[in-house]
Amino acid sequence: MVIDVELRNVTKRFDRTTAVDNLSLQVYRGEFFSLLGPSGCGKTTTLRLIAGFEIPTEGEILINNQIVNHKRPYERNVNTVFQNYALFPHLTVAENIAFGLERKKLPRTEIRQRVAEALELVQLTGLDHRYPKQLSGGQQQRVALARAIVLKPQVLLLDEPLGALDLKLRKEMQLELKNLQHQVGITFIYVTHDQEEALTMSDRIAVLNQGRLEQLGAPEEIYEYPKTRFVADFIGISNFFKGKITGNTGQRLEVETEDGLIVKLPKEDHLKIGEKVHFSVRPEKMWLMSEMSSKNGENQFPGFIERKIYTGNATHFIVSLSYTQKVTVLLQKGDRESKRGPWTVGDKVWISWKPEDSVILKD
Amino acid sequence: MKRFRQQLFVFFNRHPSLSLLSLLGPSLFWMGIFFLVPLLIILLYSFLQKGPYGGIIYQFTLENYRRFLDPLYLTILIRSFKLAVMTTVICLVTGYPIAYRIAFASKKWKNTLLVLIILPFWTSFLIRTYAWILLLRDTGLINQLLLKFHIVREPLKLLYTEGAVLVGMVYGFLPFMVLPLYASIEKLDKTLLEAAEDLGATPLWKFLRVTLPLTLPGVIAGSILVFIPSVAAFVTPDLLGGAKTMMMGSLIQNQFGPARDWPFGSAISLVLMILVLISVFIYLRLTKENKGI
Amino acid sequence: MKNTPSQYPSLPAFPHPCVPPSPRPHISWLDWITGLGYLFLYAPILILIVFSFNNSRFNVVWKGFTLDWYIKLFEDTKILEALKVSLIVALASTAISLVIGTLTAWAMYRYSFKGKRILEGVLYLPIIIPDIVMGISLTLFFVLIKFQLGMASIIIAHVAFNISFVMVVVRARLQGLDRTLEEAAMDLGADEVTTFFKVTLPLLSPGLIAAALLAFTLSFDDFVISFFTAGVGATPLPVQIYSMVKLGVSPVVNAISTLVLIISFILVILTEKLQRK
Ligand SMILES: Nc1ncnc2c1ncn2[C@@H]1O[C@H](COP(=O)(O)OP(=O)(O)OP(=O)(O)O)[C@@H](O)[C@H]1O
Ligand SMILES: [Mg+2]
Repeated sequence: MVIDVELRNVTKRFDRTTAVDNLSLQVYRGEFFSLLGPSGCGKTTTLRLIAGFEIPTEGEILINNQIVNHKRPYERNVNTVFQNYALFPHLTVAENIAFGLERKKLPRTEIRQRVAEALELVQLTGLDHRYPKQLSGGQQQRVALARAIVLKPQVLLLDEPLGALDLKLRKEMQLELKNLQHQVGITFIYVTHDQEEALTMSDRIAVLNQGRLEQLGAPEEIYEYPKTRFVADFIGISNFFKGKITGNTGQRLEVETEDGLIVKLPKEDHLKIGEKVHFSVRPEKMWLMSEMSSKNGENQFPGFIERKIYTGNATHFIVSLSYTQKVTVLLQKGDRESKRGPWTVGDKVWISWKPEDSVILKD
Repeated sequence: MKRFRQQLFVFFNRHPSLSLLSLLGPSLFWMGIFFLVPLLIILLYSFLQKGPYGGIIYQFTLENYRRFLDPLYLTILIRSFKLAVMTTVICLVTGYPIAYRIAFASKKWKNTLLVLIILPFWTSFLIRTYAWILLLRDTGLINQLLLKFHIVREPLKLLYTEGAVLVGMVYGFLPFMVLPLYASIEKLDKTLLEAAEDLGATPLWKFLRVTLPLTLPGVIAGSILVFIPSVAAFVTPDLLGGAKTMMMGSLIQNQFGPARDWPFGSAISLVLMILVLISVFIYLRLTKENKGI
Repeated sequence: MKNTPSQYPSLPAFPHPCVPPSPRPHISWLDWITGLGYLFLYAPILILIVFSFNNSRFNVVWKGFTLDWYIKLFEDTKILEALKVSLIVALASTAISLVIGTLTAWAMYRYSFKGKRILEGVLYLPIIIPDIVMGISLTLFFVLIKFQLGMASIIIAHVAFNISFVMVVVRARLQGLDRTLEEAAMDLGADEVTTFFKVTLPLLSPGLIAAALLAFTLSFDDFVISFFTAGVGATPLPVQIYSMVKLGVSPVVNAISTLVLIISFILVILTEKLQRK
């Protein structure tokens, strides 16, 4: 696979804060690559480093296998869609889109033609002569997109481009953006703090925390097999357990949690008896039963329903297994609840999950 | 050529301290030589003695400051202060309702009213003060009207009085009061007033407990902005006041003019400046504290 | 069409208690005070303007319309000379202070450095300190270094206070400038020079024009500082007007005053228009 952008041990420090901390990653040609993480984790800084607005304190940035650390932004074949759009208020829509083309000294007719194409691509035909102020938020967003795409950059950098839009428009634009990327075939590096957005749109996701890379992988990988507690917690909901390894029975690890539950986990070679482990289980992987059942696997524990939260297409049950250990169990509509439901608060229930649905976390 | 300019930009980008110096250089030079040095000269002169025919004798003395205690000069100092405070109070009392009215005016009117307040700032203070001579002198418009309607027998002496100076200063500095007041009344959350009404406050109570405290920063800003030019006024007392209404500004001018006493003039200037800086300092302290609320 | 509205019980005719009665325009005491305030601000100016057209030497009562005073005005070489001095001083000091003030504003906006707060304070000083003090101190300075008082000394003095005003206005504009716009320009392939001329300058220009107009007006209208720093042979208009006023009220003063006021009004309206853009 061709590598478009590569970061090698990049660190960026501002006066006191380390915004990006020893970050290494590769972005492949044509992929939709997301940088995901909570506010202040260094997503924007990473993007600005690639765009050329910041110079790394340490490490190297490569575009097209060439080190570009000290190249000015206009010397790089990447373009940015800014978080606040950064449309030039003194130029019309058409002039905004033509801005980059004019710098390339293209002939007039070609510029006009490409601007028209770009406007069509983002469905803004006819608004050429408006000023940014006269556009809605969604329209401004499209202009910002068109202005960058019209230059046919090798890589397009997008910093929470949908952040300012309302939920409905946001969902629409997510689809459109994805389509657009297929159409133009440009590599997208996409910054967001919205995990759902990252999961639905990306080919690969890099999860950042405090400037460090927590995990890099495809959406399913990140969701199903989070490597760290941070990832498991940040993406979706997880039930966390802490314990010590007490046995190793061929196929299974046996762990005694702090509350004295004996839990079976999938085998992991590098873990020894006596070691401490953290693991997590997704709420939808857990079963809820009225009684203990022989066919329902190895991990079965009694508990009380403490709360029941109805959210339309699903129901969350908060079940307390002990004084300190509570878990969330999620039942989809028409799921297993029908077996003997509906449970209510205070009911005694059994929960269970398959050993392979436990994910061991690095600390 | 273009290539060269670009290289220049890149060069400056790589050497921020050099570009900073070239940006600040001109103003450091100008302000240093033509503003700070002259102020230092005043400071220096204020401790020197005056020569027999004007000019300076380079001999240290505190005499120039001691002379402020001379009743003759003390009266002038006190008068300046008194008139400045009176101007400020009158401006505040008249400016507040005006600012309030503008802040609550309809959008269409608001802009016009504001421009009309700002406009005088852009016009010659000298000329506007001169206009009052036309109104106040013995044969001026006011006396003409009073005579015509037989309110008085003979013209009142209006010009060259403290009253005339006061009117002239209020007239000149009222916009300085209205603008900051307007700004803070405008910012006032109007629902707070409704809440006060809802809780049973009478209009007066509402004003005293809600509006006034919340617009206090504007009151302070306006008061200081009026007080400073008032206490240092030169044109107004010079044109509208007489010999009996001399203020600090005219006193300074006197020392550099007929009296030819530069050291004393420097000392008065310095005192005036310190008075002004103290009020600015108070202003900054008060507004900072107010922000915390 | 079964569900015609008439089938529903009609709403009570009286207004809902929550809706306040529609405001009837009435003139409150606030309106009165405000009106009087504006009258107070503008009556003297209006009377001055009216009297400048009054056909009476002593301009005591209205004797009919005339343009005589304006004709006299343009025959008065002293006034014309003073006007010329004022215009030259205003133009020169505006040009110089615009350049210096803008550079300073730029430095204050872009860089943080040691002693920035102190420099900021010093830069605000000329706005704050009494103009008479500034005028006196500069005069002493010129006398001390034996610099001939004249046009040059006035220009130097005016630049010294105008730098501060220009800096404040331009800096306010810069503060409102979105840094990402310049980054966007570079991102789209514009180098530093192009970015400056294509993005920064156009966005800054209303501020620059406003600053220039302000500096011009302040210089053109300044009396106190000019009064002290002017020497023989270079009398700016306000100083000329002052000496005429000191000699006594004359209709020619009314006329020239009216002209100066009108010039100022035009400048304000221009600035307002530009700020709107
Ligand atoms: N120019 C700067 N100077 C100093 N600190 C900075 C600067 N830019 C960013 N930082 C700091 O670096 C850290 C990372 O900031 P960054 O903007 O990259 O976060 P982010 O992940 O984009 O957050 P958000 O989701 O809120 O946009 C933050 O702690 C921020 O305060
Ligand atoms: Mg960000």
